[in-house]
Amino acid sequence: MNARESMLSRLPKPSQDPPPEPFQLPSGDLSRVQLWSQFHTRFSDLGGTIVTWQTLAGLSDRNWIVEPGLDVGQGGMHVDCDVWNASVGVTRADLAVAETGSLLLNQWPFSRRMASLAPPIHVAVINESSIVPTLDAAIERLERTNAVLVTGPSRTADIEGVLVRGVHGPGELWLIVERD
Amino acid sequence: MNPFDAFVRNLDPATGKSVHDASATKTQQRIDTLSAVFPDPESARSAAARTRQYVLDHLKPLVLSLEEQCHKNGIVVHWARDAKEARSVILGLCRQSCRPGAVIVKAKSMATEEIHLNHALADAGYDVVETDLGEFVVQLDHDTPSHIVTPIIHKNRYQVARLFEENNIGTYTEKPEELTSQARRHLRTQFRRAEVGISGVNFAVAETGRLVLVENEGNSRLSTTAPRVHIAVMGIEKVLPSEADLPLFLRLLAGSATGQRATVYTHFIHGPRKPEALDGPDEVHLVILDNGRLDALAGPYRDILRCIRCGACLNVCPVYRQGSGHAYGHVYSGPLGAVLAPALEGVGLAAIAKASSLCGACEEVCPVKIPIPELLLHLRDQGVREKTIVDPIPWSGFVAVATRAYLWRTSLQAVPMAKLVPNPWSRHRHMPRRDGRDFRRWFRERA
Ligand code: SF4
Repeated sequence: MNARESMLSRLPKPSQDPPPEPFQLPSGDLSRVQLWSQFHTRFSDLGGTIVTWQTLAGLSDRNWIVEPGLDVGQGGMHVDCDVWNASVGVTRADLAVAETGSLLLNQWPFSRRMASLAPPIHVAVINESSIVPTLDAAIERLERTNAVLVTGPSRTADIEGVLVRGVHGPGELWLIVERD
Repeated sequence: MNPFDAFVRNLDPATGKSVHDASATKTQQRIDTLSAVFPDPESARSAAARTRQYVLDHLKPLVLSLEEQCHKNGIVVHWARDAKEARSVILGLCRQSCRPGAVIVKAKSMATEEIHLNHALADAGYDVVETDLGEFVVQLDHDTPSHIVTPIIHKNRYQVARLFEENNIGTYTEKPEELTSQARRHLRTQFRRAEVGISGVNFAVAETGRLVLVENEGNSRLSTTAPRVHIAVMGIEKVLPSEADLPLFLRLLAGSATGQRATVYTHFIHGPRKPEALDGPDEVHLVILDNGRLDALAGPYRDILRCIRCGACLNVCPVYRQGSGHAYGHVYSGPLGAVLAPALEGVGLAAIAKASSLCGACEEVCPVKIPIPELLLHLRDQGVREKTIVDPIPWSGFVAVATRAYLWRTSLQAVPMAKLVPNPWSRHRHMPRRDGRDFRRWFRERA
């Protein structure tokens, strides 16, 4: 018997009970403005910063990596193809989650997964309408693709419990919210 | 003396303090977060316990569905009955992808610790690199993790600094920020060169075949995104029925493990890169591991398989806080390990079930409500019956005398009671001093 069959043969025959109802937190009835304000508090507590396109102009001398199809709107900047040497990575974010201050990044074929991961600064761009109240609502909207939920800058507390940002992923997480 | 006591006795005070203080802080953060997140944390824990119990009761259809969905999504599923089989499956996959000498990056995974994978890969000539900061330190120091969530809870900054200096990772510094950036720089070159990335799995969703990994540093994302091949290793019990179950478990895991509302990165892996995609691995493999789990599932300790490896029971345990994880002598330590180790590997390990004061704190914090103290008691009982627990103090003589009235009476006439207690017991404890007269005589004469 191969490993699969022998393992399966040892699993008992299950009862017909239906699975328990998934537990959900109530999504509340906050307006979009209130959701953004809740998001903002959580996001900044974690160390994230909400910025504008103007802020980015100040970094025009750095190496950038920009997700294809995103118009960063600034002429003359060096858009490097080697993601490992980039200082700034710009990508879309598909959803903001007010409950946790998280951003959901779907990884479409045109997305560049490494752009939100390798550079020390990750800039995410999101539409103002793309906010949901809870994790439940965000996970309901997962697509049939890879995705990552980003909740603040990369961090560790491995050495004596001291919080350090930017251990492997970006130590800076910036967000640009675009009007629809 | 049992090995746990011996370990604690020789523990260096700095280590003891690191473990104790960090555990206490994490316990408080856990309480604060969970009560902020859930209107009623109790009902959340009950719901999680029910779902995990359902999974254990329905593992067969759930795992079959997981396999089928993974297959649809392009993830190749492998099965492994024990550690040896798992190592050979993984080694085989590595050999298909790259030559010995190649770099293999690893994200923290208890399942791969459990099967002692690193040694096998290193023996085959691969350059295996642990990339979680704590695990990296452990690997450099030829040490083992002492906690399932925070592997170097037993080390301080000075020890890390000296280790980095000796290994040319960077110059000596006592600033955790600088030590961290030295590690970042060093590991970056490894990520760039790596041909295979190996990770664990936190949850695998039966309904959709999605693999969910949580972490704070980003090394797990790098390990599963940058190399051409990703191999994920999971214990067979890590399934959840549906995607709608994820939010509860993500909240409970982050809250119980580190007092966060959500870990920094929650990675939802759906499959390998599409042909037109810009990056991501070409191959994703999932290794489903038994290694004692199916024995445990059929036995009296099956509830321990509900565990989601949050580490809260370690942080809250007074015995763990005294000893650190190494005292347990197994990859899984603390109250979780005291049950899981013997449940996976047999009652021969039941002696570590004695490293508990049965205070019940572990059950109180467990997000899936595992009755750990009850399981520990059962294990002790089984251990004594099957003689794998040998009491270091020979009580049998005392029991023989103390349970027979005439013998007890005669003995007491010959010597004071303190002398009847076996010597090893009183060697480490102070017997109360006898004060005043003989109780029996006093009682007789009272009338
Ligand atoms: S036994 Fe419970 S508290 Fe301990 S690690 Fe597992 S889930 Fe967490």
